[in-house]
Amino acid sequence: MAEIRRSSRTTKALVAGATAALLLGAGGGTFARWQDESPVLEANRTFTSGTLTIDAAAGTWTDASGAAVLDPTAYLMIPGTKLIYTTTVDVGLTGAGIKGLVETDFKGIVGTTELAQALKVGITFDGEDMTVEATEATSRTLTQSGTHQLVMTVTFPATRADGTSWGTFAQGKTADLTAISIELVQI
Amino acid sequence: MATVRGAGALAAVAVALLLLTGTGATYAGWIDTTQVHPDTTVTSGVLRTELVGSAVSVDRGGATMSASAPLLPGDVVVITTSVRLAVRGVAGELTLDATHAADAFAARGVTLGTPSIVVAGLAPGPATADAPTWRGGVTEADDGALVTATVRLPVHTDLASTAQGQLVDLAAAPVSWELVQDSTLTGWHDGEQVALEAVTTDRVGLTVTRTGAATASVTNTSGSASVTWAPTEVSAAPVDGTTDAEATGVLSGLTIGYGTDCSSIPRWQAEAGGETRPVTGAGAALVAGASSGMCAQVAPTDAVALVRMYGARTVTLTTTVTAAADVAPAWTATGEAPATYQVAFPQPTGLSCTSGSYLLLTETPARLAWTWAGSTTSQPAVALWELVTQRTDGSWRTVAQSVTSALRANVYRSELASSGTAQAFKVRAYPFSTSGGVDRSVFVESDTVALLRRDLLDAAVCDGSPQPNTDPAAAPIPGGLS
Repeated sequence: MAEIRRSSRTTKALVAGATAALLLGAGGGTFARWQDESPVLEANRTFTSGTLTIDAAAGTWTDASGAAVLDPTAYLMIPGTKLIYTTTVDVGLTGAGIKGLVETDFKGIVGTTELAQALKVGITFDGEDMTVEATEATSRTLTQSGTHQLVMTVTFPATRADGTSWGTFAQGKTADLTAISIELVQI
Repeated sequence: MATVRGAGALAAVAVALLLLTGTGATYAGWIDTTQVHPDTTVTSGVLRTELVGSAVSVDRGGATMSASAPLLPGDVVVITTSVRLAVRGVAGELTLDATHAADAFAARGVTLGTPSIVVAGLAPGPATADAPTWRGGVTEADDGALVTATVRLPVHTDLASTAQGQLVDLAAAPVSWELVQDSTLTGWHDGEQVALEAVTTDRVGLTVTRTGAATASVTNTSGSASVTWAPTEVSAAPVDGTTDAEATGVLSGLTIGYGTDCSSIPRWQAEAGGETRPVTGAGAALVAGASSGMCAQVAPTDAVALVRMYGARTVTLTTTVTAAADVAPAWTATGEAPATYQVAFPQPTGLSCTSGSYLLLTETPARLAWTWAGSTTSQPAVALWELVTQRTDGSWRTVAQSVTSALRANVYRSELASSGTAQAFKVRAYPFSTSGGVDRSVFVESDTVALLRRDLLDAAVCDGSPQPNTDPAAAPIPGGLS
């Protein structure tokens, strides 16, 4: 096996030397006599990609009467009242035939307090209801750039679902609103 | 080995392509995400009541006494109750309702005067008091306020005897606080039921118990209060066939006095009046728990006139006795002493007989005449006079009837037996008319019976002097109290 391995190394060295000579002969200009060239394109071309962006602005709070609520954390909700959060969402859609699918991901109220149980939350996107805490995301297809309105409403119903009084239920409690995640997906 | 490595590389490329083509959207293109951050913790308001304390006391003439003190007429039951309010982010209406407590007194026969409610501790605002309820608006300005209500339930000064010794269980009839967000009872509401200790009424009052036709026993049932008592009025109501007008006439024709016994000179006298006559005179003292006698002394003011007008009429005389507490609280109690009074209905008396004659076919009848109640001219109390004669079988038949006041009747020979046997005649007086005629169930007969017969000339003549009438129906009605 040792003799066979030496014979093979010698052969490989010879082959490498011949290949090097061939490569040097083919690529060296010094070997050419005439040459010419012609561009395929008339001029340089720049390719530009489209856009797909979504960006929500900071919103504002109002009460049921439309009066501004500057500090919603200081607003004490009672049965029969609601808080409304209104914001705009800028959607950028450029590019040939681009389409975007808007989907929201919103858990609504978190926590297990009596207030969290009592409050009802809803969101609309351009006036259309979007599902809150749903297993199936509500989506909407967009084809062009634009500014859209997102409204979230937090309602404390005047009575329980069965129409009876709340008694002292959910008094002096707190509940946290989660963030609303809005995703724009090219389709 | 080289073959193995090449195969592995190909497999990796294939998996990569599968992964890239397997997830659609992700592979399809771009994705962007933004987030809306309300970043808000929502807080709810508060609308609550918390009972701080409650108590019951008795206001007796300005002095505050324990609720365990037996209630006297004129006392004021004072209920105080306090709640602390928590009102944040909401307005509401606070109600205090003492209706059940007031009703608990009424259920025991303890009548109350006009109750009142005063509520203190709230910020100025709209409120309406319609005792035994009170309503007022509350706002956030009342957050933390200690609200105290004072309910005053005045016990009536003239309690019925049935109100004596009654336990009024205020624990079962609580005063209630209610705080509501809206009067429609939507939204929030909170409330407190204030159970209070029971109160008991004293056995104050007056009982009047009949002990005889003209007498009664008057008892001060109070356990602690002395009273001054007196009969204060007397009224008359008709009995049986007597009319309302006759009852009033009878009452007017009586002299009525009262004493603590029947032998003394009356210290109270009934004054003139109509259906009811006031009784005047100085009151008599009666210490707690003591009794006194009362005797009514009733007599016709003009006996003859009363008989003529209202003979045999019967009325119920009801004397009202009133007692008043000697010291505060001022209260009165009343009782009634009924008695029956009948006007006398005397017998026709002085029956006389004048013989008749029969000559030349001309008859002059025999005449019977009598007197009644000392009069021969006016007997409106008598509805009918009737002359009756006795048959041979002993029964009596009517010979003549008259509603006149002539007090005489003729007896013709045709009314007499042709055999010449003497027949008895007597007079009956009926006092009552009915819609169909005369009430024949009540009558009085003449005290004597006249005897008449036909004589030899076939004339109606008297047969001796009138004889005593022994028929029990002849008995007069003596009249008086019973």
